[in-house]
Amino acid sequence: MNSEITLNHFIGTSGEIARMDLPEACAIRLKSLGLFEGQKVQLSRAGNPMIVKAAGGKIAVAGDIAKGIYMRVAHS
Amino acid sequence: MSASVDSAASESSDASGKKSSGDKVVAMLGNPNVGKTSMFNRLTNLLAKTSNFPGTTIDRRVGRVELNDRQSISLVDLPGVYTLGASSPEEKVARDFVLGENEEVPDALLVVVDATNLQRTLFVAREALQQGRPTIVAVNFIESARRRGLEIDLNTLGRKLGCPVVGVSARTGEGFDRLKSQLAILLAGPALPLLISSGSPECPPTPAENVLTVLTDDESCGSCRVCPYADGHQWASALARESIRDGSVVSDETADRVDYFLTNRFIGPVVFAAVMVLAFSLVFWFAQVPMEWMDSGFGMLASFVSGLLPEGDFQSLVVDGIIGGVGGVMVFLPQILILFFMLALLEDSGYLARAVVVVDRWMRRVGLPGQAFVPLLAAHACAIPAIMATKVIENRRDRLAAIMVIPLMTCSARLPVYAIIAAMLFPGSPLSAAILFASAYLLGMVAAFVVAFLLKMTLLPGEASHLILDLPPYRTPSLRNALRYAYERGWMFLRDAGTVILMISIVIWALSTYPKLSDERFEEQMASRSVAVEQIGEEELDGLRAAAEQEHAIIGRLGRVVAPVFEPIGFDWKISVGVMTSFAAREVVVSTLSILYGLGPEPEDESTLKDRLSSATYPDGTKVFTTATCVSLLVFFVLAMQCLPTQAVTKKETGSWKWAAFQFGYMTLLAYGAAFVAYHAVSAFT
Repeated sequence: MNSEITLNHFIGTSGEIARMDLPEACAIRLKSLGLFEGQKVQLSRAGNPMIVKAAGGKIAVAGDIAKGIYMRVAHS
Repeated sequence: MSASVDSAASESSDASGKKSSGDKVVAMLGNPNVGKTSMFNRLTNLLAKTSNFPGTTIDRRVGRVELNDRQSISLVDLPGVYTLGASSPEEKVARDFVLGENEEVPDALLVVVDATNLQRTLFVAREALQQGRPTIVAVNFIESARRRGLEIDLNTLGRKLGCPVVGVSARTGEGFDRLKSQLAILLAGPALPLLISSGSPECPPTPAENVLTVLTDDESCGSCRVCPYADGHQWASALARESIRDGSVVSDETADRVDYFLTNRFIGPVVFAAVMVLAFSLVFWFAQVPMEWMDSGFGMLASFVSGLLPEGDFQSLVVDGIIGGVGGVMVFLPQILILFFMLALLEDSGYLARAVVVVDRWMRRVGLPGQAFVPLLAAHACAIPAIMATKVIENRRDRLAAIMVIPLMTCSARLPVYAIIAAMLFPGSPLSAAILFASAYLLGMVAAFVVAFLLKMTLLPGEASHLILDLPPYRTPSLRNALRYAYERGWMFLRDAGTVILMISIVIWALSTYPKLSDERFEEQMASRSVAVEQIGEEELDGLRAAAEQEHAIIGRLGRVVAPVFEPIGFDWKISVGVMTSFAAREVVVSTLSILYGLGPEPEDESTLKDRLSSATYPDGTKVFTTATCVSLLVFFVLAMQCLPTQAVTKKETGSWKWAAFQFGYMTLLAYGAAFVAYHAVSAFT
C-alpha cells in the first residue's frame, strides 16, 4: 500500500510526486518547470526554501509550496 | 554576417514592426539561460534596437540579420520563458507574439535549446512546434556539451522534432553559417510538413516524424494523461535520451556542492554579504575616475560655450540650464553602466538566483517576494530600471509592494547630496564620511522593509507569493553580453537625461531667472542690508547679486511661501527652495543650493560649496547648517521621493496615477516626519 507525505516533511534523496494541492497558478508554474504528478524528483537541499531536481533542472521551492506537494511513500 | 542598427530601427519603428523593409520576421524563443541573448547578439553583430512590447515595459530587441547576399531577416528576441501557457507578463508577451495577437504572425520561429540540458529546454520547443509555424531549432552550447562528453545526434533530434536542427555555439560562433543557411531555406521553403535535410549528400532528405505523437503507454504518467505539461516534459525527457549518442550522464556534483555553500543557512548570508560589498565597492571605485572626468568635461564645455555665446539670457539658458542641469545628472552614467555590467555578470554566472534563495526568507517576513531582491539591488543605481525590472514578479500584490518601496533605496542621484552633507559634517575625516554614507544606505533599506511590512498590514494585505524559482546552471559569464546589457541600460538613462531632465532643467532655469532684478532694486536691497558694495570684491558681489536675483525670481518667492512648512525640520528658505526645485530630480538640490548661497551657477568644486554652506548664517548670526540641520537634510533626502521620472514609471507600471500619488505622498510624509525627529533629537544633544 502506498501512503503520502508532503515534500517539506519528505526525508530521503529521491521520490515521486503523488499529487499537488496548490492554487492553480502555483501548480501551473511548477508543472511548467517539470514538477507534476508522477514525476520523479531528487531532493538537493532540505529547509526553506528547499531545492529539488527534476526534469533536468533545479528548482527552489518555498516551504509553503512544499506543503502542497504530496510525495508517494512506498512501504516495503 | 552584417547588421544595421538603422535599418533595424526603421523597421521596428513601424507599428507592425514588420513589413516596412520587406524583411521576414523571425522570433527567437527559448528558456531563460539557454544563451538566447548571446546568440541574438552574435547574429545581429551586437547591433539591435531596444524598445518595449506594446503596452508593456518588457524589452523588445529587434535586429537585422543578413542570411546571405540576397536575404535578410528581422530577428525579434522574445523574453526567456519556460512555457507559452502560463500567465507571467513575459509568457504572455511571447505567446502573443508567436500567435500574432497584437502584430503580424512571425514568418518563422527560431527555438534555442541547451545542448547540456536538452531534457529541460526541449519543452518549449514542443510548444513552439505546436503552433504550426515554420520552426528551426538551434542547439546552443554544443561545444560545452562536447567537452563534457555529450554527443548530440542532431539528425535524430531533427527527425523526431520534424524541423531543421542546427548545433551552434554562441560563444565560439560554431554552426552560425549553417544556422543562417538553414533559416534561409526554411523561409523560402514550403509550409509544413517539412523535409529534413540530413546534411549529407548521400542521404536524401527524410520526412519528419510526427513531433506531436502521443506518448506510449509506458511513458505516460497515469493521473496526468491529459496534462500537457506532464506530456510535454516526458516527451522532452524521452527525446533527450534518444538524441544523446553518448549516453554518459553529466555529473553535477560540483554544482550541488557549490549550491550547498551558497544557499546554506549560515554560510549563504556571509557569501551574499561579501559579494554585495565587493560588487558595490567595485562600482564606486571604478566609477570614481570617469565621473570626475565627466564632471570636468561638462565644466570645460560650459566655459567653452560661455566664450562662444554673447553674455545674456540665452547664454545662461544653455550654460546654466541645459549644460548644468543635464550634465549634473549625466555624470552618474559611469556608476549606472558599471552597476548593470556587474549585475549582468552575476546573473549570467547563476549566482543571483542563489542569492534570491538566501534572501527570500527575510524578505517574505515583510511581505516582499524573493524575486524583488534583484530590482531592489538595481535601485541602488536608479529606481527607474528597477521598477521596470519588477516585471519578474508575477503576483500583483507583491509587485505593487516592491514598486512602492523601491525609490527608498539610495540611488546614484542622492550621492551628491550625501557627499556635500558628509563634507560639512565631517571635514577631513573620510572614515566618518564613509560611515555616514553607509548609514544613509542602511536607513533607506530599513525604511523600505518597514514600509513593505506596513503595506502588508494595511493597503496590500496578504502574504508575498511563495518562491518557485528555476536555478540555472553555473556558467562563465559572457563579457560581451554584460557590456551589451550595460550599454542598453546606459542608453535608456541618457535618453531620460536628454528628454525629461532637459525639460525640468529648462523650467527650473526659467523660474529662477525671471522676473529679472533691476540694478536699482539690487542697490536698494544692498543698501537696506547695509552692505557697502564698493568695499567688497567683484567675486563676492557677483555672488550677492546671484542670490538677490534668486530671491527676486519666481523660485525665490515660492521659497518664501513654503519656508514656514520646512522651518520645523531646520531648513531655511533657501534649503526649502532646494527641496522645491529638486521636486522633479533630487540632485538638483546641490546646484540650487550653490546658486542660492551666492556661488556661481555650478559648483566648480564641492569643497567650495561646502565652505560657503558651512559659513552661511541667519540674519541674527546663527549658523544655518548646524549638525541638526545637516542630519535632517540628509534624512529628508534619503527618504523623500523627489524624482518625477520615477513617478511616471510608477504610473506606467501600476497602470494608475493613484499609486504614483500614494508613493509620492507617503514618501514625502515619511521624509518630513523622520527629518523632524532627527532634527529635534540631534538638536537636543548638540
